This record gives sequence, structure tokens and C-alpha cells, in this order.
Amino acid sequence: MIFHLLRLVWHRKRQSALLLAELFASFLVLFAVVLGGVVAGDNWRRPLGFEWEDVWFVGVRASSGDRPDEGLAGRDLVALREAVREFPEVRSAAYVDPAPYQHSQWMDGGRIAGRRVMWRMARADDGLPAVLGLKLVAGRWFSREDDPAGTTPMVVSESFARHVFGTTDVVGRDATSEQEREDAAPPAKRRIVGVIADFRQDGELMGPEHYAFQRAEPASGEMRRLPRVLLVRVAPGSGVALEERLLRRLERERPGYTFQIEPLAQMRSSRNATGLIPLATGGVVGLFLMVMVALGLSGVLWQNVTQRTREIGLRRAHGAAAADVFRQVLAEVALLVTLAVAAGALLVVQIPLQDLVTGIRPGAFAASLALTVFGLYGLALASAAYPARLAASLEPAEALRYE
Amino acid sequence: MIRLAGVEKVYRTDRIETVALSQIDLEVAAGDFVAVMGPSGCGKSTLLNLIGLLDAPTKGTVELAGKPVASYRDRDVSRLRNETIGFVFQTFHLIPDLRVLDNVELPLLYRKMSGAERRARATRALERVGLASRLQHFPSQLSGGQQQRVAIARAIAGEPRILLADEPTGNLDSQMGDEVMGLIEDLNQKDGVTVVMVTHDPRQAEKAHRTIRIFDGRQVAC
Ligand SMILES: Nc1ncnc2c1ncn2[C@@H]1O[C@H](COP(=O)(O)OP(=O)(O)OP(=O)(O)O)[C@@H](O)[C@H]1O
Ligand SMILES: [Mg+2]
Repeated sequence: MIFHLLRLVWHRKRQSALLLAELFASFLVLFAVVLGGVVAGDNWRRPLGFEWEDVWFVGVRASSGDRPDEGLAGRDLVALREAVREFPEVRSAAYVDPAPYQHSQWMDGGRIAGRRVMWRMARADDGLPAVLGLKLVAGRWFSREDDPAGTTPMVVSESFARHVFGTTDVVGRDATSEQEREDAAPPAKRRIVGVIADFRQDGELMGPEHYAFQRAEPASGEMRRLPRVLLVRVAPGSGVALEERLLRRLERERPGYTFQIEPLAQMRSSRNATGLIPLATGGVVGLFLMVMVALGLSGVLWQNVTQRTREIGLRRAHGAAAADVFRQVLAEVALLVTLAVAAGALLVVQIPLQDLVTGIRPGAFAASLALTVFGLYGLALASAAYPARLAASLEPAEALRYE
Repeated sequence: MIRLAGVEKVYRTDRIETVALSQIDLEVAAGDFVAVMGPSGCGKSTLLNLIGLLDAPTKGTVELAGKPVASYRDRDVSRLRNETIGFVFQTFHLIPDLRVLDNVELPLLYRKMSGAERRARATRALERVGLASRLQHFPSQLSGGQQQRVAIARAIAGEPRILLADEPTGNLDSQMGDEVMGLIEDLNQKDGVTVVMVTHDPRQAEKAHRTIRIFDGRQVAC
């Protein structure tokens, strides 16, 4: 029967091609939407690598500067940090730049130990792990020990270590980028002092990316760029009152600076809301499209059944039961879906095979593919159910008379 | 082989009721060859549909090979149709998108059978009607007479005991019609297939063992 249907589909090239094209396009759209959803879900349930609850963001800016980090002085930053730490409600405070959930990112990349790697990074002072609850996997965080070194100390994420060195046992390793061109300035020396659990600066919706912190401790002398975000861990339940007191204290401490305070929880909400907009839009558009496809498919099949009324009558006359007719309509659709899915799958597996998009875990990809395949079969069979019932309910004698 | 008792068929549409057949009593023995004649619209096709289990009578009983068909469910009626009856229609009813061989395989698709066996049987049926050289043609590439022979091959591919032919030569010129008639006679004589054939042509009706005449839905004396 399968071969019989294949031949039918084959000889009805024009109509089959039309349906195939529609199914193929739906496969791609459905896959894109499902992949987006699955990847987002997959990212969402993975650990962030830090704790955002009860942490406040304090943006620090010198009033004299034109650019955000202009006019900052290391001494001032140390004094401000000390002032904040004096509050009994403040558990800890540390500088970082950029901060989690901040709409700001710093990319670095190069060839390290023979491996090409791109990573996101931030500069941080010696006290950050206490504020963000960073989890050290190996080695240590930055400290006074690092003061005299001519090399920049670096704490890398587990995925960074694995990608470059194939292991997390990388403390003490040199992480200086190889010089790529003869005429370029020699790259800054870097040494790994610790490894942390994967850190996702953008939060729940951020995909797996390599991450590294470089030391920027204002107390350790002058440096090219100072961090300009003070993260403050406060006692649970602290509110606006503390916020105002903190602000007044900071302004009193350094009148030449301006400050902007916002709980990380709030930044997180808005960041995730923004991140979910394209996803939700894609979902709605995808859903709408699927409804259109279902209606279209239903219509085309319905028309198909009507056109083939006499063929159906003929099959009935030659021994096809109503159930056989019903199944045949579904089987023909399933056959087309199989062809469309095969073509679509062949196309989309090129994404991981050719490494076209990074940051998608193989599991998420496979799950999306499976979901899309099942989804399309479900959609197509559901759309075919009514036309198939119509075909099955045709009276054989009437169907044969149909003009 | 075929027994109709007190059969009546009424078509009900929105406004009108058409009595297509009434008080039909008919018995056809195995190996018999019956011609059905009558003016257009008198109910000949309706009679054939009832015998072929394509339709159920409004009143009365239809019995096929001694089976109580009325109590059968769709699946069983379909099986009986598949195994005992072969249909030939005035308008051939070939599936244009399928090659000749695939068309002839059609009744065998609804039986448990290997693909190779289907091919073999369909090929044999096509040899029987003299079209062994046209297996891979499409219906549109054949003449009317050839198309009707394909339809006969399809009807006999499953080796049914009954052949129901509704004006099988109605769309053919006389020479092609004679060829087709020859095949039907042959099936009746050599294979003992029971034939019920609707025809307008008295010359063809003569080839049958007997003729039933229907007038306005009623059987009239021969
Ligand atoms: N499905 C139907 N619905 C309503 N009326 C029908 C239906 N089928 C047949 N009839 C009517 O029943 C009567 C008998 O029709 P039938 O097709 O059996 O005639 P026929 O003898 O085969 O005619 P012809 O020689 O033209 O083929 C006709 O009046 C026809 O209009
Ligand atoms: Mg008729």
C-alpha cells in the first residue's frame, strides 16, 4: 500500500509539490520557533553561577567626566566602598564592570594554548565572590597576592577552561593570547588563578558562553580603566529607606560623583522581560502560522477529496472499507510530511554539523528536532482528519455517480 | 449465487421521493449470464449497485453467495465485495494518475498479499485481456476499448465469482464493443464467472442466457 501511495503522490507531482512546499516551509518555521523556545527553556533551568537576591546595583560616575568612566579615581572608589561597608545592613560590597543584568558586554578573544576562543568578560575587585556568591571550582579568587605581578590575574569559567585546556585543572596556566601579527603590540600577559562555575552575566536567558574575570582592584594602585559598578549585598528585606540612606551617605562621601541605585532583582525582571519579547513574538507568529497552515492544509485536502470522489467510490467498489479510505487520506498526508520532514531535517542538521550557530546544546537541538517532527505530524494529521472523515463517509454508489 | 427478494429502493432528496426500484425478485444461479435492459432512468444501475452491495435496499433483502448481507458491518461488506464481485463501468473509472498495472492491482491492495504476488496477478489479468504490452502506460495513452479492457482486467484481478457490468460497451464503437463483449462471454464460459450486465444493445443481450427487463422500476415479464 505504501508503494501504491508513493506512486500516487509521485504521479500527482504538481499538487504533491505544492503540499510538500507548504509542509517544508512549516517545518522550518516550526523548528525555528520550537528551537527558540527549547533553547530558552534549556538556558532558564541552568544555574546562573551567581545569586542576585538582595544585591543592589550602584552605578558610580564622576560628575566631571564626559564618558562614564572618565574622572574616576581609585582612591575615591575605595573610600566609597568603605563608606557603604560601614552600614550594618550591608553584608558585603564589591566592584564589577559590567555587572550582571546590565545591558553592557565586553568581549575578548584570541588564540590561547593553540585554541581559538571567544569569551565574555568583566573586571572585578577582590571582594566580588562574597557579594555574588560565586562558586570557585579550583584555585582562588583575586587578592593582595596578585599586587606585584606584572601579569594580569584571571579567573575563568569552567567552560572556558574545558574549551581551551580540556580540563578544569588549569590554575597557574598562562592565558596570554598568542601574537597573531608581527607588527601588533605584544599582548598583555595573563595568568589563571582560579576557576569558577559557569557564570551567566545576562542571566537566565543567556546561552552557554565562556566567561572570565580580570582583576581590577581600585586599592591596588592606578590602572587604565576602573570598574564603575559597586554591587552591594544587603540584609534580606531591606528597602527604599536603606536605599535613600545609602545614597545620601555616598553623596556626602564624594560630592563630585553621581550614583544610581537599583536592585539587581529589578534589573533582572526587565532584562528577562526584554529577552522574552522576541520569543513571545516568535511564538505568537509561529502559532498563527501553524493555524494558517492547518486551515490551508485542511482546505487543500478537502478539495483533493472532492476531486477524487469517483476514485474513492471506485476503491469502495473494489473492496476498500470506509476505514481503509480514512486511513488512505491520512497515510498520503503522512507520506508527504515524511518527505518534507526528511528534507527539512537534512537542512537543519547542517546547523550543528557545520557549526553555523554556537551556544545551542546538542540535547536542546535534538529535542527541538523531535518536537518539530512530532508537531508537524500532529498538525498535518489533525488537519487531515476532517477531510479523511468526509472521504470515508462518502456513499460508494453516490461517489461513483459524482461528476 | 445472487438472490433479491421484495427489493425496493427509494431515493429521498429534500423535496422529492424517487422510487427507483420496487418489488424486485431476482435469482441468478452460479455461472449464469443475465442481461438487464430497460429505458434510461428505469433503475438498471440502481439494481446493479444493490447486487454489488454498493447500496442497501430500502425494503427487501439482498443475498450474495448465501450470506446474510443485511446484518454485515461495513468492513465485512467490503471484504465480500472485494472477494466476490468485480465491477465494470460504462465510463471505465480508471485512476488517471496511475499506470495500467497499478490500476489493475487496485482490488488486490485490500487483501493481505505480497507486492510480488499482486504484480503477478495483475499482470496475468492484463495478459488475459490482451494488454500485456501496456503495463506501464497511463490510461490517457490508451484507446477507449483498451481502457475498458484494463477495467475488465482490474475487475477480474481478484478472481471474483460475480462480474457486474454497467453498460460496458456504452462508450465504445461497435468493433471495440465486440472485443469487450467477447472477453465477458469468455469469462462466463471458460471461468464460470456469473455475469450481470446492463445493456441497451439487443444484439449484446442475445449473448446472455437470459434478459430481465425493467420498466419504471418494475420488473416486466420477459
Ligand atoms: N442517488 C440518487 N439520488 C436520487 N435519485 C437517484 C439517485 N440515483 C438514481 N436516482 C434516480 O433513480 C432512478 C433510476 O436511476 P438509475 O441510475 O438506476 O437508472 P438507469 O436505468 O441506470 O439509467 P441509465 O440507463 O440512464 O443509466 C432515476 O430516476 C434516477 O434519477
Ligand atoms: Mg445506468
